[in-house]
Amino acid sequence: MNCMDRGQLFSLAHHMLDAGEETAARAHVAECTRCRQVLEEFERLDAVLGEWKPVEPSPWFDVRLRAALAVEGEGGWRGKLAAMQWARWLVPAAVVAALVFAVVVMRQPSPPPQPVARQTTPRSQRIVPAPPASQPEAGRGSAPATLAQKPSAPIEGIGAGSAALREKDETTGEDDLKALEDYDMLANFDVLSELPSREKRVAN
Amino acid sequence: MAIDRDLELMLRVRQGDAESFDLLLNRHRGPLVSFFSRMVRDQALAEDLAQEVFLRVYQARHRYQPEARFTTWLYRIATNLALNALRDRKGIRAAVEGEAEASQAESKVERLPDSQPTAEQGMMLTEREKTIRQAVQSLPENQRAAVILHKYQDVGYRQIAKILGVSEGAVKSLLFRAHENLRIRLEPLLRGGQL
Repeated sequence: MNCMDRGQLFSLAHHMLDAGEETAARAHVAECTRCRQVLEEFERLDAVLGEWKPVEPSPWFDVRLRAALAVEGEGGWRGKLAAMQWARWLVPAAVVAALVFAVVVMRQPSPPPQPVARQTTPRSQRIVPAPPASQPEAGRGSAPATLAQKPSAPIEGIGAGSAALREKDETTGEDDLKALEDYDMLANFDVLSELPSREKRVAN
Repeated sequence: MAIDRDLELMLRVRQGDAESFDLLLNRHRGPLVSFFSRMVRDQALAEDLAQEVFLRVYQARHRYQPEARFTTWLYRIATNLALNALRDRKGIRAAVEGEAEASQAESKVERLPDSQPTAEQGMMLTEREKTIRQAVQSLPENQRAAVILHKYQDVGYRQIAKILGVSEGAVKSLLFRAHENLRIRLEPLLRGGQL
Protein backbone atom coordinates (compact mmCIF):
# COMPACT_ATOMS: atom_id res chain seq x y z
CA MET A 1 0.00 0.00 0.00
CA ASN A 2 1.27 3.47 -0.93
CA CYS A 3 1.63 6.28 1.62
CA MET A 4 -1.62 7.83 2.71
CA ASP A 5 -2.43 11.50 2.35
CA ARG A 6 -3.14 13.65 5.41
CA GLY A 7 -6.89 13.48 4.82
CA GLN A 8 -6.86 9.68 4.91
CA LEU A 9 -4.69 9.68 8.02
CA PHE A 10 -7.05 12.14 9.67
CA SER A 11 -9.95 9.83 8.81
CA LEU A 12 -8.02 6.94 10.29
CA ALA A 13 -7.32 8.87 13.48
CA HIS A 14 -11.01 9.74 13.84
CA HIS A 15 -12.43 6.36 12.86
CA MET A 16 -14.10 7.63 9.74
CA LEU A 17 -12.99 4.71 7.57
CA ASP A 18 -14.84 1.48 6.90
CA ALA A 19 -13.69 -1.57 8.82
CA GLY A 20 -11.81 -2.99 5.82
CA GLU A 21 -10.15 0.32 4.98
CA GLU A 22 -9.11 0.83 8.56
CA THR A 23 -7.48 -2.60 8.81
CA ALA A 24 -5.44 -1.97 5.66
CA ALA A 25 -4.50 1.55 6.79
CA ARG A 26 -3.37 0.31 10.21
CA ALA A 27 -1.20 -2.34 8.60
CA HIS A 28 0.44 0.32 6.42
CA VAL A 29 0.97 2.78 9.27
CA ALA A 30 2.67 0.03 11.30
CA GLU A 31 5.32 -0.22 8.60
CA CYS A 32 5.53 3.41 7.38
CA THR A 33 7.36 5.86 9.67
CA ARG A 34 6.18 8.97 7.81
CA CYS A 35 2.49 7.99 7.92
CA ARG A 36 2.85 6.93 11.56
CA GLN A 37 4.29 10.33 12.47
CA VAL A 38 1.38 12.14 10.83
CA LEU A 39 -1.12 9.87 12.52
CA GLU A 40 0.55 10.46 15.91
CA GLU A 41 0.44 14.18 15.28
CA PHE A 42 -3.32 14.02 14.80
CA GLU A 43 -3.68 11.90 17.91
CA ARG A 44 -1.56 14.37 19.90
CA LEU A 45 -3.65 17.26 18.65
CA ASP A 46 -6.74 15.42 19.81
CA ALA A 47 -5.20 14.93 23.25
CA VAL A 48 -4.24 18.62 23.50
CA LEU A 49 -7.76 19.70 22.56
CA GLY A 50 -9.01 17.47 25.36
CA GLU A 51 -7.21 19.65 27.90
CA TRP A 52 -9.86 22.34 27.48
CA LYS A 53 -12.15 21.42 30.33
CA PRO A 54 -15.89 21.99 30.30
CA VAL A 55 -17.40 24.89 32.19
CA GLU A 56 -19.89 24.22 34.96
CA PRO A 57 -23.22 26.03 34.92
CA SER A 58 -23.66 28.66 37.60
CA PRO A 59 -25.67 27.62 40.70
CA TRP A 60 -28.51 29.98 39.82
CA PHE A 61 -28.99 28.54 36.34
CA ASP A 62 -32.06 26.50 37.31
CA VAL A 63 -33.59 29.33 39.32
CA ARG A 64 -33.36 31.69 36.39
CA LEU A 65 -34.66 29.08 33.98
CA ARG A 66 -37.66 28.29 36.18
CA ALA A 67 -38.47 31.97 36.47
CA ALA A 68 -38.35 32.26 32.68
CA LEU A 69 -40.48 29.14 32.31
CA ALA A 70 -43.02 30.54 34.75
CA VAL A 71 -43.38 33.62 32.58
CA GLU A 72 -43.35 31.79 29.27
CA GLY A 73 -45.00 28.60 30.42
CA GLU A 74 -48.59 27.56 30.85
CA GLY A 75 -49.66 30.84 32.38
CA GLY A 76 -48.34 32.95 29.54
CA TRP A 77 -50.44 33.70 26.51
CA ARG A 78 -47.67 32.49 24.24
CA GLY A 79 -47.65 29.16 26.00
CA LYS A 80 -51.38 28.84 25.67
CA LEU A 81 -51.24 29.77 22.02
CA ALA A 82 -48.49 27.24 21.44
CA ALA A 83 -50.63 24.60 23.10
CA MET A 84 -53.49 25.30 20.73
CA GLN A 85 -52.64 23.73 17.41
CA TRP A 86 -55.33 25.66 15.59
CA ALA A 87 -54.07 28.96 16.96
CA ARG A 88 -51.27 29.08 14.43
CA TRP A 89 -53.97 29.83 11.80
CA LEU A 90 -55.48 32.62 13.86
CA VAL A 91 -53.33 35.46 12.62
CA PRO A 92 -53.37 34.49 8.91
CA ALA A 93 -57.16 34.02 9.12
CA ALA A 94 -57.59 37.45 10.70
CA VAL A 95 -55.46 39.05 7.97
CA VAL A 96 -57.46 37.33 5.21
CA ALA A 97 -60.75 38.37 6.83
CA ALA A 98 -59.57 41.97 7.06
CA LEU A 99 -58.54 41.95 3.39
CA VAL A 100 -61.89 40.49 2.28
CA PHE A 101 -63.73 43.10 4.32
CA ALA A 102 -61.63 45.87 2.82
CA VAL A 103 -62.30 44.62 -0.75
CA VAL A 104 -66.06 44.36 -0.10
CA VAL A 105 -66.19 47.87 1.32
CA MET A 106 -64.17 49.34 -1.55
CA ARG A 107 -66.32 47.61 -4.21
CA GLN A 108 -69.60 48.96 -2.89
CA PRO A 109 -71.01 51.67 -5.25
CA SER A 110 -70.85 55.05 -3.64
CA PRO A 111 -74.30 56.71 -3.20
CA PRO A 112 -75.17 59.56 -5.62
CA PRO A 113 -74.35 62.97 -4.23
CA GLN A 114 -77.22 64.29 -2.16
CA PRO A 115 -78.19 67.93 -2.25
CA VAL A 116 -77.21 69.62 0.92
CA ALA A 117 -80.36 69.54 2.95
CA ARG A 118 -80.77 72.59 5.08
CA GLN A 119 -82.55 72.17 8.28
CA THR A 120 -85.87 73.83 7.97
CA THR A 121 -88.68 73.71 10.35
CA PRO A 122 -92.13 73.16 8.90
CA ARG A 123 -93.98 76.36 8.90
CA SER A 124 -96.80 74.89 10.92
CA GLN A 125 -94.31 74.10 13.73
CA ARG A 126 -92.63 77.50 13.81
CA ILE A 127 -92.99 79.33 17.04
CA VAL A 128 -94.65 82.56 16.59
CA PRO A 129 -94.62 84.73 19.66
CA ALA A 130 -98.14 84.87 20.82
CA PRO A 131 -99.42 88.12 22.22
CA PRO A 132 -99.84 88.20 25.98
CA ALA A 133 -103.34 87.34 27.04
CA SER A 134 -103.63 90.52 29.03
CA GLN A 135 -102.66 92.72 26.10
CA PRO A 136 -105.50 94.28 24.27
CA GLU A 137 -105.90 93.16 20.67
CA ALA A 138 -107.07 96.54 19.60
CA GLY A 139 -104.50 98.88 18.18
CA ARG A 140 -102.24 96.10 16.99
CA GLY A 141 -104.08 95.89 13.80
CA SER A 142 -103.78 92.66 11.91
CA ALA A 143 -100.07 92.02 12.60
CA PRO A 144 -100.37 88.57 14.30
CA ALA A 145 -102.87 87.53 11.74
CA THR A 146 -100.48 88.61 9.03
CA LEU A 147 -97.65 86.55 10.54
CA ALA A 148 -99.86 83.52 10.79
CA GLN A 149 -101.08 83.83 7.26
CA LYS A 150 -97.96 84.96 5.47
CA PRO A 151 -95.99 81.67 5.60
CA SER A 152 -98.50 79.75 3.57
CA ALA A 153 -98.79 82.34 0.92
CA PRO A 154 -95.60 81.73 -1.12
CA ILE A 155 -95.90 77.95 -0.94
CA GLU A 156 -99.45 78.10 -2.04
CA GLY A 157 -98.33 80.29 -4.87
CA ILE A 158 -95.62 77.83 -5.97
CA GLY A 159 -97.32 74.59 -5.24
CA ALA A 160 -100.92 75.53 -5.88
CA GLY A 161 -101.73 74.89 -2.22
CA SER A 162 -101.29 71.09 -2.23
CA ALA A 163 -99.79 69.43 0.84
CA ALA A 164 -97.64 67.10 -1.31
CA LEU A 165 -95.97 69.98 -3.06
CA ARG A 166 -95.43 71.74 0.24
CA GLU A 167 -93.60 68.63 1.46
CA LYS A 168 -91.48 68.54 -1.68
CA ASP A 169 -90.60 72.19 -1.36
CA GLU A 170 -89.03 71.66 2.02
CA THR A 171 -86.84 68.69 1.12
CA THR A 172 -85.67 69.11 -2.44
CA GLY A 173 -85.23 72.29 -4.44
CA GLU A 174 -82.42 74.58 -3.35
CA ASP A 175 -84.12 77.58 -4.93
CA ASP A 176 -87.34 76.90 -3.12
CA LEU A 177 -85.49 76.64 0.15
CA LYS A 178 -83.90 79.97 -0.57
CA ALA A 179 -87.30 81.41 -1.19
CA LEU A 180 -88.45 80.00 2.10
CA GLU A 181 -85.46 81.40 3.86
CA ASP A 182 -86.04 84.77 2.32
CA TYR A 183 -89.56 84.65 3.48
CA ASP A 184 -88.43 83.64 6.95
CA MET A 185 -86.19 86.64 7.09
CA LEU A 186 -89.03 88.84 6.08
CA ALA A 187 -91.32 87.20 8.61
CA ASN A 188 -88.78 87.62 11.39
CA PHE A 189 -88.20 91.17 10.35
CA ASP A 190 -91.91 91.79 10.63
CA VAL A 191 -91.93 90.32 14.12
CA LEU A 192 -88.96 92.36 15.23
CA SER A 193 -90.36 95.49 13.74
CA GLU A 194 -93.53 94.88 15.61
CA LEU A 195 -91.90 94.37 19.00
CA PRO A 196 -90.98 97.95 19.89
CA SER A 197 -94.43 99.19 19.24
CA ARG A 198 -95.78 96.37 21.38
CA GLU A 199 -93.40 97.25 24.20
CA LYS A 200 -94.37 100.81 23.93
CA ARG A 201 -97.97 99.82 24.27
CA VAL A 202 -97.17 97.75 27.37
CA ALA A 203 -95.33 100.71 28.86
CA ASN A 204 -98.28 102.89 28.11
CA MET B 1 -35.98 1.08 16.40
CA ALA B 2 -34.95 1.54 20.00
CA ILE B 3 -36.11 4.80 21.47
CA ASP B 4 -33.29 6.63 23.23
CA ARG B 5 -33.73 7.86 26.77
CA ASP B 6 -33.89 11.55 25.82
CA LEU B 7 -36.53 10.93 23.23
CA GLU B 8 -38.58 8.94 25.70
CA LEU B 9 -38.37 11.79 28.20
CA MET B 10 -39.28 14.35 25.58
CA LEU B 11 -42.36 12.36 24.59
CA ARG B 12 -43.41 12.44 28.24
CA VAL B 13 -42.78 16.19 28.37
CA ARG B 14 -45.05 16.50 25.35
CA GLN B 15 -47.77 14.80 27.37
CA GLY B 16 -47.31 17.34 30.16
CA ASP B 17 -44.91 15.50 32.48
CA ALA B 18 -42.91 18.26 34.21
CA GLU B 19 -40.67 15.74 35.97
CA SER B 20 -39.38 14.47 32.65
CA PHE B 21 -38.47 18.02 31.70
CA ASP B 22 -36.41 18.26 34.90
CA LEU B 23 -34.64 15.04 33.97
CA LEU B 24 -33.85 16.40 30.51
CA LEU B 25 -32.58 19.57 32.13
CA ASN B 26 -30.31 17.57 34.43
CA ARG B 27 -28.91 15.54 31.56
CA HIS B 28 -28.20 18.45 29.20
CA ARG B 29 -27.70 21.55 31.34
CA GLY B 30 -23.94 21.06 31.75
CA PRO B 31 -23.14 19.96 28.19
CA LEU B 32 -25.18 22.83 26.74
CA VAL B 33 -23.53 25.49 28.91
CA SER B 34 -20.13 24.05 27.96
CA PHE B 35 -21.07 24.02 24.29
CA PHE B 36 -22.08 27.68 24.38
CA SER B 37 -19.12 28.80 26.48
CA ARG B 38 -16.82 27.22 23.88
CA MET B 39 -18.76 28.70 21.01
CA VAL B 40 -19.26 32.26 22.24
CA ARG B 41 -16.49 32.60 24.88
CA ASP B 42 -18.61 34.73 27.23
CA GLN B 43 -19.85 32.71 30.21
CA ALA B 44 -22.87 34.91 30.96
CA LEU B 45 -23.98 34.84 27.34
CA ALA B 46 -23.39 31.08 27.26
CA GLU B 47 -25.80 30.60 30.16
CA ASP B 48 -28.40 32.89 28.60
CA LEU B 49 -28.25 30.93 25.37
CA ALA B 50 -28.47 27.57 27.16
CA GLN B 51 -31.56 28.84 28.96
CA GLU B 52 -33.02 29.96 25.67
CA VAL B 53 -32.58 26.42 24.31
CA PHE B 54 -34.49 24.92 27.23
CA LEU B 55 -37.20 27.55 26.88
CA ARG B 56 -37.59 26.72 23.21
CA VAL B 57 -37.69 23.02 23.91
CA TYR B 58 -40.42 23.62 26.49
CA GLN B 59 -42.40 25.92 24.24
CA ALA B 60 -42.18 23.47 21.33
CA ARG B 61 -43.08 20.41 23.40
CA HIS B 62 -46.56 20.07 21.88
CA ARG B 63 -45.17 20.24 18.36
CA TYR B 64 -42.28 17.87 18.99
CA GLN B 65 -42.05 15.01 16.51
CA PRO B 66 -39.56 12.22 17.24
CA GLU B 67 -38.10 12.22 13.74
CA ALA B 68 -34.44 12.24 14.74
CA ARG B 69 -32.41 11.81 17.89
CA PHE B 70 -33.32 14.26 20.61
CA THR B 71 -29.75 15.58 20.81
CA THR B 72 -29.79 16.32 17.08
CA TRP B 73 -32.81 18.55 17.61
CA LEU B 74 -31.35 20.05 20.79
CA TYR B 75 -27.99 20.90 19.23
CA ARG B 76 -29.60 22.16 16.09
CA ILE B 77 -31.43 24.76 18.19
CA ALA B 78 -28.24 25.42 20.17
CA THR B 79 -26.00 25.77 17.12
CA ASN B 80 -28.38 28.17 15.40
CA LEU B 81 -28.56 30.29 18.53
CA ALA B 82 -24.77 30.28 18.92
CA LEU B 83 -24.13 31.22 15.30
CA ASN B 84 -26.71 34.01 15.48
CA ALA B 85 -25.14 35.31 18.70
CA LEU B 86 -21.70 35.27 17.08
CA ARG B 87 -22.99 37.17 14.06
CA ASP B 88 -24.79 39.69 16.26
CA ARG B 89 -21.70 40.23 18.36
CA LYS B 90 -19.57 40.57 15.26
CA GLY B 91 -21.94 43.25 14.01
CA ILE B 92 -21.84 45.08 17.35
CA ARG B 93 -18.05 44.82 17.51
CA ALA B 94 -17.72 46.13 13.94
CA ALA B 95 -20.02 49.03 14.79
CA VAL B 96 -18.04 49.83 17.96
CA GLU B 97 -14.74 49.62 16.10
CA GLY B 98 -16.06 51.81 13.30
CA GLU B 99 -17.26 54.33 15.83
CA ALA B 100 -13.91 54.27 17.61
CA GLU B 101 -12.05 54.85 14.36
CA ALA B 102 -14.29 57.74 13.44
CA SER B 103 -13.92 59.17 16.89
CA GLN B 104 -10.12 58.89 16.74
CA ALA B 105 -9.99 60.54 13.38
CA GLU B 106 -12.06 63.45 14.55
CA SER B 107 -10.69 64.32 17.95
CA LYS B 108 -7.82 61.94 18.68
CA VAL B 109 -9.60 60.69 21.76
CA GLU B 110 -8.21 57.69 23.57
CA ARG B 111 -8.89 54.22 22.23
CA LEU B 112 -11.89 52.26 23.42
CA PRO B 113 -10.87 49.62 25.92
CA ASP B 114 -10.32 46.19 24.42
CA SER B 115 -13.24 43.84 25.04
CA GLN B 116 -10.86 40.94 25.68
CA PRO B 117 -10.92 41.07 29.51
CA THR B 118 -14.70 40.58 29.65
CA ALA B 119 -14.25 37.23 27.91
CA GLU B 120 -12.44 35.93 30.94
CA GLN B 121 -15.47 36.34 33.17
CA GLY B 122 -16.29 33.22 35.08
CA MET B 123 -13.58 31.12 33.48
CA MET B 124 -10.61 29.90 35.39
CA LEU B 125 -8.36 28.77 32.60
CA THR B 126 -4.78 27.69 32.59
CA GLU B 127 -2.43 29.22 30.04
CA ARG B 128 -2.63 26.05 27.97
CA GLU B 129 -6.41 26.12 28.05
CA LYS B 130 -6.38 29.77 26.99
CA THR B 131 -4.17 28.91 24.04
CA ILE B 132 -6.47 26.06 23.02
CA ARG B 133 -9.55 28.23 23.46
CA GLN B 134 -8.07 30.99 21.35
CA ALA B 135 -7.10 28.49 18.65
CA VAL B 136 -10.57 26.93 18.53
CA GLN B 137 -12.35 30.25 18.68
CA SER B 138 -10.27 31.65 15.86
CA LEU B 139 -11.70 29.00 13.52
CA PRO B 140 -14.42 29.95 11.03
CA GLU B 141 -17.89 29.51 12.58
CA ASN B 142 -18.83 26.24 10.83
CA GLN B 143 -15.45 24.65 11.52
CA ARG B 144 -15.68 25.74 15.14
CA ALA B 145 -19.17 24.32 15.52
CA ALA B 146 -18.12 21.04 13.91
CA VAL B 147 -15.04 20.68 16.13
CA ILE B 148 -16.91 21.51 19.32
CA LEU B 149 -19.80 19.18 18.52
CA HIS B 150 -17.46 16.37 17.52
CA LYS B 151 -14.70 16.71 20.09
CA TYR B 152 -16.46 18.09 23.16
CA GLN B 153 -20.12 17.15 22.80
CA ASP B 154 -19.47 13.68 21.41
CA VAL B 155 -21.94 14.12 18.57
CA GLY B 156 -21.58 11.74 15.62
CA TYR B 157 -20.78 12.80 12.05
CA ARG B 158 -24.25 12.03 10.77
CA GLN B 159 -25.81 14.06 13.55
CA ILE B 160 -23.43 16.97 12.95
CA ALA B 161 -24.41 16.87 9.28
CA LYS B 162 -28.08 17.20 10.27
CA ILE B 163 -27.35 19.91 12.79
CA LEU B 164 -25.33 22.02 10.35
CA GLY B 165 -27.53 21.17 7.39
CA VAL B 166 -24.67 19.78 5.28
CA SER B 167 -23.66 16.35 4.00
CA GLU B 168 -21.70 13.88 6.08
CA GLY B 169 -18.78 14.24 3.66
CA ALA B 170 -18.86 17.99 4.14
CA VAL B 171 -18.66 17.49 7.91
CA LYS B 172 -15.56 15.29 7.55
CA SER B 173 -14.02 17.87 5.27
CA LEU B 174 -14.86 20.68 7.72
CA LEU B 175 -13.27 18.72 10.54
CA PHE B 176 -10.14 17.94 8.56
CA ARG B 177 -9.62 21.61 7.61
CA ALA B 178 -10.32 22.68 11.18
CA HIS B 179 -7.71 20.24 12.51
CA GLU B 180 -5.17 21.42 9.97
CA ASN B 181 -5.73 25.00 11.17
CA LEU B 182 -5.53 23.93 14.80
CA ARG B 183 -2.32 21.98 14.19
CA ILE B 184 -0.64 25.15 12.98
CA ARG B 185 -2.00 27.31 15.81
CA LEU B 186 -1.23 24.81 18.53
CA GLU B 187 2.19 23.83 17.28
CA PRO B 188 4.00 24.90 20.49
CA LEU B 189 1.76 22.63 22.54
CA LEU B 190 2.11 19.77 20.08
CA ARG B 191 5.89 19.96 20.31
CA GLY B 192 5.48 19.33 24.00
CA GLY B 193 6.64 22.77 25.08
CA GLN B 194 5.31 24.63 28.07
CA LEU B 195 3.77 28.05 27.57
